[in-house]
Parts: sequence; C-alpha cells; structure tokens
Amino acid sequence: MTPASTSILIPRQPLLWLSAALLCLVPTFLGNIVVWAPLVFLCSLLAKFWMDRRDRRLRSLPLKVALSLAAIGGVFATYGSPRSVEFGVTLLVTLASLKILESHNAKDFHVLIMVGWVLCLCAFLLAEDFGVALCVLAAFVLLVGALVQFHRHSGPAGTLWPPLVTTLKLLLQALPIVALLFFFFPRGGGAMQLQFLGQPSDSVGFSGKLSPGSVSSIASSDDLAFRAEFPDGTIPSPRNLYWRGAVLWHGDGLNWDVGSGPGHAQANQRRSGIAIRQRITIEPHGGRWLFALDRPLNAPPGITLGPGRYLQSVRPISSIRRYEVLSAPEASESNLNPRERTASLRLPSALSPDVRALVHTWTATTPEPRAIVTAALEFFRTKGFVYSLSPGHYVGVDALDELLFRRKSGFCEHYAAGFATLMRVAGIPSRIVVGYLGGEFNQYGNYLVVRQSDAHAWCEVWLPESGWTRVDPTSVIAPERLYLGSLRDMQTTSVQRQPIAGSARTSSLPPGGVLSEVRQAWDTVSYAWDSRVLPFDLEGQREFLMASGLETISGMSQLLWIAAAAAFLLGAYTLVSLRRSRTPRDAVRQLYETFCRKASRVGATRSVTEGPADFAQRACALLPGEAARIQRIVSSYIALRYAPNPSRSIVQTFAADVDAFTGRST
Amino acid sequence: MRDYIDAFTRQIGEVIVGKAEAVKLAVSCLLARGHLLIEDIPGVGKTTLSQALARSLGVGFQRIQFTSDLLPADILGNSIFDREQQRFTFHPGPLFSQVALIDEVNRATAKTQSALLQAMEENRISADGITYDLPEPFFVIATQNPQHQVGTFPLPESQLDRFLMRIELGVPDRASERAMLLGMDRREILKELKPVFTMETLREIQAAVRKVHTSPALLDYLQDLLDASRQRHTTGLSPRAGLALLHGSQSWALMHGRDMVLPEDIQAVGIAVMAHRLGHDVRQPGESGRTLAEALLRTVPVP
Repeated sequence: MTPASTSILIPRQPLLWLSAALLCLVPTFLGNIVVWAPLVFLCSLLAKFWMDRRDRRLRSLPLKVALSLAAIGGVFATYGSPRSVEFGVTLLVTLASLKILESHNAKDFHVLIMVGWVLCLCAFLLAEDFGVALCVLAAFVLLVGALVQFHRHSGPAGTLWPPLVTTLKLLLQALPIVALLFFFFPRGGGAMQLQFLGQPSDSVGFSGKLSPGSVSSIASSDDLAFRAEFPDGTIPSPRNLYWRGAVLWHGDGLNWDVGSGPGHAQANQRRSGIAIRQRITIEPHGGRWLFALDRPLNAPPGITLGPGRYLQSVRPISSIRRYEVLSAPEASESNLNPRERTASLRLPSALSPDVRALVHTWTATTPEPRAIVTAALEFFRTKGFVYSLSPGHYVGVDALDELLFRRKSGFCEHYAAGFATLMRVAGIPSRIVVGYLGGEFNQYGNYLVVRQSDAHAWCEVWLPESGWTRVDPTSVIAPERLYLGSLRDMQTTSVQRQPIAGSARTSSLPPGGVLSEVRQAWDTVSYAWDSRVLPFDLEGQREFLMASGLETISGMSQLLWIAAAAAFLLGAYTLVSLRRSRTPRDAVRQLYETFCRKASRVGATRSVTEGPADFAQRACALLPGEAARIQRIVSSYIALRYAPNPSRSIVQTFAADVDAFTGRST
Repeated sequence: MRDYIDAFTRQIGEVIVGKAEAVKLAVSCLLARGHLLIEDIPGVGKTTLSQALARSLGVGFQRIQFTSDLLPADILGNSIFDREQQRFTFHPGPLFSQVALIDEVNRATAKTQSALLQAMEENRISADGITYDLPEPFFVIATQNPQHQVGTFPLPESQLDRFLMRIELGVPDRASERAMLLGMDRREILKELKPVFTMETLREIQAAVRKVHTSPALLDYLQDLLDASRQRHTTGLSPRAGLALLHGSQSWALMHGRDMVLPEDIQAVGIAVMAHRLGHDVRQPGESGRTLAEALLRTVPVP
C-alpha cells in the first residue's frame, strides 16, 4: 500500500458499487444469523451515506473502541460461546459494519473490498442454495467492479459501462480457471468440521418422533424437504405418494417414537408388482433420516434399512445428499416375527376404561382384523371428527380420551397415533410411519418437490393375509388432504372442494398462476444447482475423473497438473494481451516498424523522435540506391497515418514495398 | 494560395537577409492568428522584421515604443472633454489598429504590460469602464531585449503564454552580413514594400490553416509532448500551449504545401512555441526554456 493511499479519499462512484455489493450480501445473512446483525449492517451503510453527504466520519478513537466493544459484547451475549460458525460470521458482519462507518481513504476501501470477499465466503458457510449463490455472485461481481471503478477514478466520473465491461472481462477470463479448479482440485473428504448452532433439524417439519401439538407451525413452512426424480418415468398417482421416513414402534397415548424397535428388518419381503426408481436429492437437516416411496426395497451405499423398512443414513446429513432407491408400493411381508409382533402390540402404560370399552364394541362383533380396521375407520368418519391444524395441546395421561371422546379435533399425527393405539388395544399389530405425503410436480424439471408442509403421519397394521398394510385415518376425516397434499392448502381451501384426480399437485395450482410458474422455473434452476453443483464432492469428483479416464491421477500429481494448466492459461492470456496491446496500432504501424528495422540493418537507423519525412530524407541520402522505394514507402505511410481519409488500398502497395525493401541497391 | 504565402515570405526575406527560418516562423505565426514575440539583442533587425511583416500584410499598423514611463492610457486611448459637445469623447490609442508593433515590450512597467493582456486574448480593451472591440484581425508583434539587459521588466508568464511564438534572430552569418552591408538602406527598402495580401486573402489563408488535417496519430504525438512537459516541469505546458502547437504546426504544414500535419511540422515550430513557456521552471533554474524545449523534442518519441 503506497503512502498516498491514506490521503486518497473514496470517490462516490466506487463507494456506491461497494455498497451495492454489500447490500447483495444482506439477504444471505437474514435468517441464518441473529437478525440484528444484518440490521446493524444496513443501518451503518445508510449512516455512511448520510455522513458522506455532510463530509463527516467516525474519528474519535474512544468512540470506535466503545462501539467495537459493544459489538463484540452483543455477539457474545447472543451466542454465548464463540465456538460456532454463526458466532464468527455475526462478529465479522458487525465489525464490518463498524468498518464501513470508519472507512475514509483508499486503504480503508481496499480493506472493505477484502472484507466483502470474506463475507461472500461466509455466506456460503451458512447456506449454499441457489439463491445464496446468486446473491454472492452479484456481490462478487460488484466488488470487483468497485475495485475497477476505484482505480479508474482519474477517468471521467459517472461512467458506468467501461468499468462494468472491464469487470466482466476479468471474470470471463477467470472462468476457465474456476472450471478447472471446480472439476479437478482435490476435494477434502467429507464436510468441513464446523459447528453449527441451529441445526436445520430444529426447524419445523419432519422429526424422528411424534408428539402432536408441537408441529402446527409446519403448515406455514414452505421449506424444501427434498426433490425426487423418477428416472424410469413412472410417477405414482398423488394419492400414493407416501414418502416413508421413519417407523415408530413405541407409543404412549399420542406420543410416539422409534423406541428400541424390534431390531433390524428381515429380508423376507416379497417383491411384487412394479418397482419405482427414485433419485432423491435431500436438503441437509442434520439428522440421519432419509426418504423413499413406500416401501424401499434396497438400501443404497452408506444407508441402512431401519426396522420397519425405512432408510437411515449412516452419517448425519449435513450437506445436500443424492441417492437412488427402488421402491415397491405393493411389496409385503409374508410373516411377522415374534419380536416385531411384541413391539407392535405393546400397549401404552395407561389406558382408560372408555378406550377399552370402545375397542370392545368392535372386537365383540367380529374377530376379523380387517373388519375391526373398517369399524375403527367408520368410527373416525362418523363421530364428528374434524381436521384442524390448531386443535390445542393434548397433554396428560388422558390425552387419547380427550381426542377420541371430547375434543375430536386434530391433524394427521393425532389420528395416526390414536388409531394405532386403538388397533393395539384390539390386538392388531400396528405401527406409525412418519414421512411426507404428496409433493408438487415441477413441469419444467419433471421432478417432484416435497416441502416441509407436506409432512404426514399414517398407520400400518398387520393383517395376516396381506402383511403390513397402510391405513391412513386422516384420509377418512379429511379426504382432501390426500389429494391436495399440503397442509397449507388445507387451510385455504374449503373442505367441500371436490377431490381432484390427476397428477400430483399441478392441477391444484391456482389458475393463471404466473407466480407459480415463476416459482417452478426458479425451483428447476435451483434443483439443477442442488443436484449437479453442490453434490460434486469427493465422491462426485472421483466419479467424474473415472468417467473422463483420469482416475489414475491423484493427490500431488493432480495439484501439479492443475498448476500446469493454470500456468498455461495465464501464459496464454498474457500472450494475447501483449499482442492485443500492439495490434491496435494497426498493421500500418507494424509495417512501418518492419521497414525501419530493415533500414536499420543497412545503416539507416531512425531515431525515435524522427518524423517520417525527415527520416525518408536522411535514408535516401544514406541509401541512394533505394531512394525511390524509400520515398514511396514513406509517402504511403504518411498518407495512411497522417492524411485525411486515407484509402485502404494504399495498404497493399505499402505492404508490398516494405516487403520488397532490402536496403541494398538493385 | 500557396503562391501568396511564398511571395509574402520571399518579400520579407529580401529585407531580412539570411534568416529564412526565423522569417518562415514569423509568417506561420501570423497565419495561425497568433501574436509574435521577437527577442534578441539590439541591432539584429527585430524592428525591421516586424515592420516588414506589418507592411507586407496589407493592413493598418501602429508602432508603439514601450518605455518605463508609459501608462496604459497611452496605448489604450484617453477620454478627453469635448468643450463643444459638453461631454467626454474617447480618443482611441495606438492599440486600435490591425497590427500593433510594440518595440521593446519589456521596457514598460507591469501595469502597462497588463493592459496589453486583455487586448491580446480577447481582441478588445476596456477603458473608463467601457469595452471597445479591436479591429479584426488583430496582431501584436512585439520585440524585446534579453532580460539581463539593464532597465527591463520581465514579462509575466501569463503574458508570455499569450504569444503564440517567440523567435530569435541572431547575428547574421558572414555572407548575409556582407550582403546587408553592401545593399540598400533597410529603411529605404521598408518604405518601398508593397502589401502582398488583401484582407480577404489573409482571412482565407487563416481559415485554411485551421482546416489542415491532424490525424489521431499526430494528436497522440502532440499530447505526448504536453504530458512529458507536465511530468518533467513544475508548470508544464498549458492547454493554450497545446493549441498554439497545433495551430502553429498547421500553419507550418500549409506553408509547405501540405493538407496534413506531420510530426516534423510540430518539431519545426516546437522550439518557437514551447521555449518561452518553459523558461520559468523552478526545478531547473539554470536551464533556459530553449534547452528544455529541445530536450522535449529530443526525447519524446514519434508514435
């Protein structure tokens, strides 16, 4: 940094660019770090412009120290421990805000640009979806632009395009190197060992257990759960899109969880009917659950099958994960092993006589399990149960009674839990499956989007003739739930709405939905990002290298190759730019230089300050044999270079003359 | 047109013997509508040259001898009370002519010299709060003695910058001096000089000068010179100096029968245009402006 840089003030134009870049970063922080940090950031940007107008700035050192201490104290107070990414990023954001207030000269400006780049990186640490990528890209471009603009400040003020063009050129030149590094730079194994505070598992949506009443906010959550492609082209009808997440064996009233379970699943599943292949790209949630259509047949590498046939990742899912799985909707087991039977018949600790009496009214009429199931469904259908997302809390030992006999209001989780408990009381083995139901079909990308609001819970009962059979009590209480899929839709559409047949949820979109089209298009691009760019980790890279026949190269030699390729690229750029810097002087000048070189070889050296006419005169005297040609060459040169409206045809004769010129008398 | 210019130059050359280069520069300066400063020791023909120029131009001229007691009103004019009309009437001074020959301009005090400033730049003067336009065209041809002579007031930079060129005559060579000694009295020759131009011809030529083509390559060279002077010297050449260089070289090119300016034209007028503007550099106190201008031309490459 030159000493002059402390005396050069930041011109307005680059400051605007820098601010725009920083503004682009703000949305990436919203929702990922504590909300006051981006707000402080915004305020200090505004304050900077306010102060700039009035030629003020933060000067007093005690004030600066006090503000910094306040900022650090605030971050500590918010996060407590400094051992998380959020803490670090928040600290950086707040201190950057203060730097904005303080910045005044060229050095500060450069520091801010660097800070901006670091913040770009931080944004990726917090989230890496496509929206964030776009924001970061915009910020990055603007930062480079600000730097370019800053160093052009001697030029006319207010120019927008030249710096932008320079910036784009720079970035375009960087593109091959970016691609090179992306594809070939050796990836580290696994994700970075960073500690995140708010694991996405804390957020609403799917969780590994069932405790109704805690999840009514699901309905409003539009967060993505996963996306599914169907490579074979067979997409089940929307009423069969049951995405199996976990099987809950252990229930106590309305609260269910995975419990100890009956041990691992046996491979005694009969495969029948069609198998549906799905390629699923799941968002990171910090847990280990994965999803597949009811019911998965196989476990892809790194994934195990839990008791009750559900997928479970070996490692927690902390980054976007892609896997392919085969499901058979009609698969069933032939027999129930004793441990499973015990686990699926275990009764809750407390059961009221009312419940027993209710179940007894069914078992007394028929011993046939199927008939009991039908009777129970009939009970739910006819006894005035309502589907409600805000039924209030069911607490205490008589929560089940409260649901069944008094309040009669709830959503899928309540009914699944209640139904499963009733079945167990009736002696029918039952369990709860949690997952998602339905999904939104994206017509651009030809895949299904499943959101947190699609979360669902249903029952499975063991029937001797058909094995584990899916029973969804919610379907008899609120049939629309099955067709419309989303809980959110349930709130907004009337219950009388006719069930809509057809593929997934496309038909249930509001008419004239330009907005939803845009949303789908955006999601398609976003999906491409999530499924092609983000999962390109160590594994993806290895596959790519294998596919391109470079698998033998690895480790150190890979680095060397990259360095060589990058050096080659840079060398090529340098050569091109060197040539470029000479060519604008056009062919005429080059030819004249050739002529001067040739003349110099035979004793007539042009001095750099010598004009063409003077040189011609001197050269003619020195080389009388070539005098005529020299005169011709120089007069063509003068005509081309100094005369008004030079005719391009002279270039030909000029070139020919220079070519023929040897300096020796002919 | 070129014949006129040649005839003009030849006629001056008959009066000032053996100073072809200086005469050509003087002519090109006038054709470029610039004021001319002739500087040299007494007795080398400064006044003769200026008179020859004025007479050959075919326009009216006035001669003013500057002295240390000369007052601005002496050159601008006076308001004198007219007894019959009962009011002041303005009696224009000797500056109200198309060519003002100012002899020994550096003998006058700064006050009088500054009265010249407005006249030279704006072609008009202010006296008693009223602004009067000077005739068009208006030239100042000034002569001065070198500054180290006794009883001189150096011209301020601002005024020097207003002279398009400063030329030096120098002692004639032996042959020329012999011819002069043998020839007619210079004053006799001057009296017999006939105007070569009419006013219209002069205007045409001056218009043609500005139309001489300057290619981008040439302007590059010109600007390189200006930039170099600004990097090397404290003040450097002003934008007005750049214009002077442009117009001077255009005029020079036209005098040599070309419709475009070559780097050689700039080099030819370069010393005359640049030297007097570079002579005040505090960084190089010992160097004369001429040396600095030569250094510029010697080092800035022709692109």
